[in-house]
Amino acid sequence: MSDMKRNGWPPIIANANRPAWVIWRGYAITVFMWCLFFFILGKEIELARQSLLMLAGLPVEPFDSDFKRFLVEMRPTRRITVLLVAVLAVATLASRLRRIAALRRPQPAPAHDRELARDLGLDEAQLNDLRQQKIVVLDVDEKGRVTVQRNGKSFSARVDD
Amino acid sequence: MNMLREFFAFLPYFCFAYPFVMAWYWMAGGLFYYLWRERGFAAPDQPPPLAAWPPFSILVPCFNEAETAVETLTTAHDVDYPDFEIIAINDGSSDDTAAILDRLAQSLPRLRVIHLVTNGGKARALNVGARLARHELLLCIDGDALLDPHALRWAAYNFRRADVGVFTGNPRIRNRTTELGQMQVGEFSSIIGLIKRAQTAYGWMFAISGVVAGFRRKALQDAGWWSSHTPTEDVDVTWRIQMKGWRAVYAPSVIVWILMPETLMGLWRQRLRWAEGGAYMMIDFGSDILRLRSPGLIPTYLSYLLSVLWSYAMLISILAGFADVLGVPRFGIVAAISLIPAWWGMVLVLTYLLQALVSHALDRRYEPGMLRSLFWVIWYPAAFWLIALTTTVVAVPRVLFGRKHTRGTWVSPDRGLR
Repeated sequence: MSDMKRNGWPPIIANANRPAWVIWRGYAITVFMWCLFFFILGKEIELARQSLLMLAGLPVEPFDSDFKRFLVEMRPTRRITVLLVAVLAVATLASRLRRIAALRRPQPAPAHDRELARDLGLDEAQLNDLRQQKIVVLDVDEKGRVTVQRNGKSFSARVDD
Repeated sequence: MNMLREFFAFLPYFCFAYPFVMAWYWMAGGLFYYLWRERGFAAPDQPPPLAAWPPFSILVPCFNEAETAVETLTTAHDVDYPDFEIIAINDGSSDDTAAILDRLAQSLPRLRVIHLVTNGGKARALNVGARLARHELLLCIDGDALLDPHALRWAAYNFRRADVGVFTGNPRIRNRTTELGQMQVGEFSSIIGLIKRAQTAYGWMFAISGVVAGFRRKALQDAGWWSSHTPTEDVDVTWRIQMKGWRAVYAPSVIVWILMPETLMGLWRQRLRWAEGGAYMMIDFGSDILRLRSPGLIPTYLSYLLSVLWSYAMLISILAGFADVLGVPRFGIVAAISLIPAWWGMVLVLTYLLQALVSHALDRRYEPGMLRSLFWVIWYPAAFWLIALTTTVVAVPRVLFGRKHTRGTWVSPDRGLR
């Protein structure tokens, strides 16, 4: 990554208007959440550790684990996962080929101004005139057609509902 | 009765299997995308040169953006690009947005302002702005978003593909003062960024991020423009553009810095709106999917449908689990469900942590210090899954049976602590 950080950029806002104890409270609660996670799953983590030791051929005290039963129950899920990932791999290849073909094609024709103007209830000359204005004020009806209120003049009045 | 018993026995399995399968799918998709595309990218602040830089129109719909308009529009004006204009569309704001935009128009040469006399909603504002734009290529950002200086060059790079009708950029979160802000940093990487990579690898996308998206105007015209019918016009337009044969892709180097809710109520409102948008999509495009109008979108549609079913399955399972804990008699057909996750829970949480690690590693090129956000990801399984499932459970019946969305319903969002 090149030098992305420069003065004031990226414009991240951290610790805005918060006392220090509130910030530290957030960290403390999150540490508690991590501890809670390890506590709740402590039994499973210990059984997993013993299973790995057993797999590695290291001595371990006899233990009762339903991990093998769990793996059997999980088998359909694993198979579906593998299948979907395989389909995605094929789809990715297709996307790649599609991209290569699209890069070779010329750019598509743009939307025509005549149709854009018609959508707004204008003609092309009026549309192009509005496009040259710095500030325009428009009223839009239910069908999306516009009525120009004031053309080229500043509009600073509050709009009431 | 036996079928019902088996159905309820299957529910906890489905509650585990769906997020497990999708997590591995998204990780694989993210890695495929990285290997196929991202690995060869230049650094985000060094976009590759093109022989010619096509002109762009940046559309910025504004409703009551008095607090953020100056910062957003001056930042957009400072973008490093030879030929572009900025169009701020004031959608009948009731604060000082109009006066502020008029003043900015005098000081920013590239800025044009469109005032709409009455408030008609973001979709309508974009529809007017897009037609009044001078250029074919559009980049739409929100009124409180800060555009990266190199965003337009990367946008032009993505539009080299003739079949791309829309791309979604990479929103990065600015405000991370609270735990909620920090959690969302992790969420945007580990979920949203990874999903968009996987969907781009697959070839069809569920939704662009409306906060930063590039459009080819012809594709918008083919799709029928933005719709005011739904609270999330970005989801809706993504589907309509793709159904017209255009491609939607992820452009991670088109970066914008955004403000996200940092209160629970603000987050709830935002996520409920997103969930309602998904429900609208499910209803609006269901018949098109059944008629096989765009077969490639069928898996994307089914994936969303499964997520809705998962939300309801989780709700039933959690309620049954609480019933067991409280000793409430349950119907005989409802299987006993433990609230202590045991092996299933451990595998699921570890899978999510791996997903977070993969996604943060992929995203670190776009944000210095990204890996520090891993400290906060433990919240995601507890907090965001609950938020996602509750907003979905609430949103679907609201959309199916409740009031219809009407235009002109902008709500000033919670923009966090600044």
